[in-house]
Amino acid sequence: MTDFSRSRRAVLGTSLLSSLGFLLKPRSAWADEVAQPVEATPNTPVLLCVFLRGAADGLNIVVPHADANYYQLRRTIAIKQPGKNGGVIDLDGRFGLHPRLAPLKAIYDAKELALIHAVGSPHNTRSHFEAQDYMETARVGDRAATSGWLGSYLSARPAKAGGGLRAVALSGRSPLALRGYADAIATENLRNFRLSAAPELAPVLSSGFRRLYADDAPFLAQRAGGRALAASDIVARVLGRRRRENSAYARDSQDFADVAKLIKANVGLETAWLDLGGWDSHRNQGSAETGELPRNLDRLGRALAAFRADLGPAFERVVVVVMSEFGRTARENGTGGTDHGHGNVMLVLGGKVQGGRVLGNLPGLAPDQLHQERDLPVTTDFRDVLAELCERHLMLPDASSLFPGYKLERQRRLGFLA
Amino acid sequence: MATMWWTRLFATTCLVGACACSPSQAQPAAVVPQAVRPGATAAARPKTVVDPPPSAAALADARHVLNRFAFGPRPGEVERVARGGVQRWLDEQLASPAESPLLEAALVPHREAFVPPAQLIDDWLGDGWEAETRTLKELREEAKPHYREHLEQLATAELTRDILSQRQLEAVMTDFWANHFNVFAAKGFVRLFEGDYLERAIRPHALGKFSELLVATARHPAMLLYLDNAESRREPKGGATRRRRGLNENYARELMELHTLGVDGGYSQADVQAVARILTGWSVARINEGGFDFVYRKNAHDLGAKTVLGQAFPEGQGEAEGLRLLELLARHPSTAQHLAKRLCARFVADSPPATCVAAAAAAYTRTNGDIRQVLSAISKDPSFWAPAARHSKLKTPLELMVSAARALGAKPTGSLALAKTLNALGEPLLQERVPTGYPDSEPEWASGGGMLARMNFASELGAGSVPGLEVPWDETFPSGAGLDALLDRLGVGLLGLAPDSRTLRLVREEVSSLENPTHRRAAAVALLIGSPEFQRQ
Repeated sequence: MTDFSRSRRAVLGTSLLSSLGFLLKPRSAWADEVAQPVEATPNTPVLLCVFLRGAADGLNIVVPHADANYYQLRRTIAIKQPGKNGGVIDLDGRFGLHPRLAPLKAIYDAKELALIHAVGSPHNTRSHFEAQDYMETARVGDRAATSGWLGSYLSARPAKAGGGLRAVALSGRSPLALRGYADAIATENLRNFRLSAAPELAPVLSSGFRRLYADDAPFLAQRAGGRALAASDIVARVLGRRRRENSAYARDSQDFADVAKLIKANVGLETAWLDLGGWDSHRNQGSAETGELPRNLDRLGRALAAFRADLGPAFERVVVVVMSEFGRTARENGTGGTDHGHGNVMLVLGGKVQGGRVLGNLPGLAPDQLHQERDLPVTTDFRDVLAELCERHLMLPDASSLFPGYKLERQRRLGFLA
Repeated sequence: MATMWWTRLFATTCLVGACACSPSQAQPAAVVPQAVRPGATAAARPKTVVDPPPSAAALADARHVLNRFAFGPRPGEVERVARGGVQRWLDEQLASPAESPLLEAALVPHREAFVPPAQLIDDWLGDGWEAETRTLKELREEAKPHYREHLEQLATAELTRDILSQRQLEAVMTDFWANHFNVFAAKGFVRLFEGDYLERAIRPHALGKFSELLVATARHPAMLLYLDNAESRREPKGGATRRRRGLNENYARELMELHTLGVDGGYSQADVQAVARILTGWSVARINEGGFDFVYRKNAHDLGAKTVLGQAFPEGQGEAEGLRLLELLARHPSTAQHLAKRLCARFVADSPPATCVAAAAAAYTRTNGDIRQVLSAISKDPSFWAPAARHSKLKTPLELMVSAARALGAKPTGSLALAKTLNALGEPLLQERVPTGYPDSEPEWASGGGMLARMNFASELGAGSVPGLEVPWDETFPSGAGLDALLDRLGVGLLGLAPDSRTLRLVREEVSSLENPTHRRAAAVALLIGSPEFQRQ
């Protein structure tokens, strides 16, 4: 876009001047908040949700390789049995990981990764957007719901720690899951999450925009702008100015690196959200090596493993949940892919996760065991998983309030968290 | 609540506008609404050499119409439309006025964007490429070095058109339909067809008949490839294998869920499969078949009997049953409702008023899907003119960028950097991956990162350093003219802010510390274009 040296100078100018400007003349409520020193909060639990947009094919992610029906249903895209070339990575004699998820095997063996099969929403919709909305509001069937389950959690509970940055979404737009909590920030890339202007204009623009957006107007966009200006100072301080720095992560996984950095910086982060797109594999989804799904899983596996390694001891207070709006047809379609289905798989990782197990109940893949004779059934409601995360990790005494109309029952607890 | 907020900011202009328009709300729908709108009375007046300035209410009406049925006003346009009357301007737009010669000239550097795919490939690979290339896949590889620039050409051309076109309503509707019938340009071979898709499937029908638009998209290679129908074949006996391909229901589902009936439109999974079977054989020609065009493959078509939405499609029917299906979908009451909702959400409010949806759906049904008539019905519905609708919508990043360029009278320079500016704002043109297209509601676009990107864009624009956009400062806002003139023309005239509004007061305070008049102008423009008010329409 512009000459690099200019824009770098511009960014430098803005952030220096704006933070200086703050100390000299705090003009709004946000300014006071930001000027406060950040409290050290090393024990705050953090929940990271990774949402696979487009309906990931769970049957090829956690593969029921002992079920002969699986190989019947998927003649060209099945992952071969363990031990064969390009075969699944066996977990327990029944299930195995897609070979491109090999980096997760050590995490599974360390019992920090639990897999839940045949999980999903009880709603029968096969519409991407409708199913995503229900998973994000956790109000299944309620099309009028406008706030998300994480947003409700955050707005109902006080901050667990100082620092001011409780919720971050790495997403081009604002995910529904976090709506209802006005201070959540959503951005495609944290490295661009700052004001930038020519140095001679930066002080005036920084002050001017902060004042223009400080008005507590009823419009979401104005509030979001005001919150973003305040939060951008924290983000800029934590991430610094380099475009990319942690070489343990591949270039396509910098979003995970940035989340890890925010977690370790103790800025009060409680929830993070990451959107990954491209899972709608209707054609040529591939088997083990080439195709859309192996490519996506390769990125996911490497990113999660790098994230785990990067966090080190801090992984004790982090839980990652990986989910998608619904699964895909058990039978492959006519074009080497799969169409929209129902039940799916969820991944839960974390230092205190009681993992190393495949949980849930996948009855089998015979026609009468499938949902409408075509899809994986849903035998575990996704809200059972989310409720356990809220109660056992975020330490919410009773998660019922987040899932209105849904009855949580103790005996259904999956037990992936103590 | 929203009304009070605007009343506070738009103390004089908006308040007058709101009062003047409120009678239109009380009118029964049968009354021709232009009779109660102030703009229309102005139009009826005989022209004199020295017109008195238009009333504040007429200016507010003009601003509202230009923000919704166009990509925002250019300098002087609010006054012009207020004088001529909003109804006359709308009628002209519905009739597609003559195109600006300025636009023709500005599109010359982007000629490549819209050439048909066959010619594009000839241009890229040179004559005789057929001798060595056999499959579309091989061709895709060979054309790879040209893709990125081609997509930038295309996005830059569309932005240029949005900024300069006299046919603003056609441009707005082209954006609407391209998003409604979204295809992801970067998927496989789709990029080669995207320019053709816009130019020959979408734009010619943007203000035409919905059923024709539907057929044009259904038969276009861009859509056939994007939603996989090109590969879908009748299911072979014993199921598909790697060699014998079969059914793919991707397009069939989105056709009903997104393009026509809507997710609650009353179709079932069985309907999805029946529709997929009806459309088997609708494909794209292979290279040895001439390549690049729609082709109907008889041997891929499922000849069995099907039932869709209770209608029997008897066995033995070929390509024609697909056309019959599209006609059935286009005429379905659920489609009228679904399209009416989407159009009212675009033109009136994120949560479209029920009266407007009903009026639009009725116009759709009455005229068998005449898009002009539907738009006209929306523009005549009292809810469109209601105070609650004005400034109620957040601009999308595209709308922000184009309206800002128009507000400053900016001209695209031909540089492809223009497309990248929109990418940084979060709405890369023609590159939304999912068939749903980009959203059209404030909660989705009001992300913190998105808002900072808008402020940064405004800062660059004020400094005149948005690559690909040239602002004729000396024509529109000469720095010698002083701050007052600028705040008056941009803040009061274009945005409709009250002269004593908090925003204008604040901008004046902030920029007065700058001594260099060019810097002062840059900062004032940046703050106004980046202001919360300019994000709204």
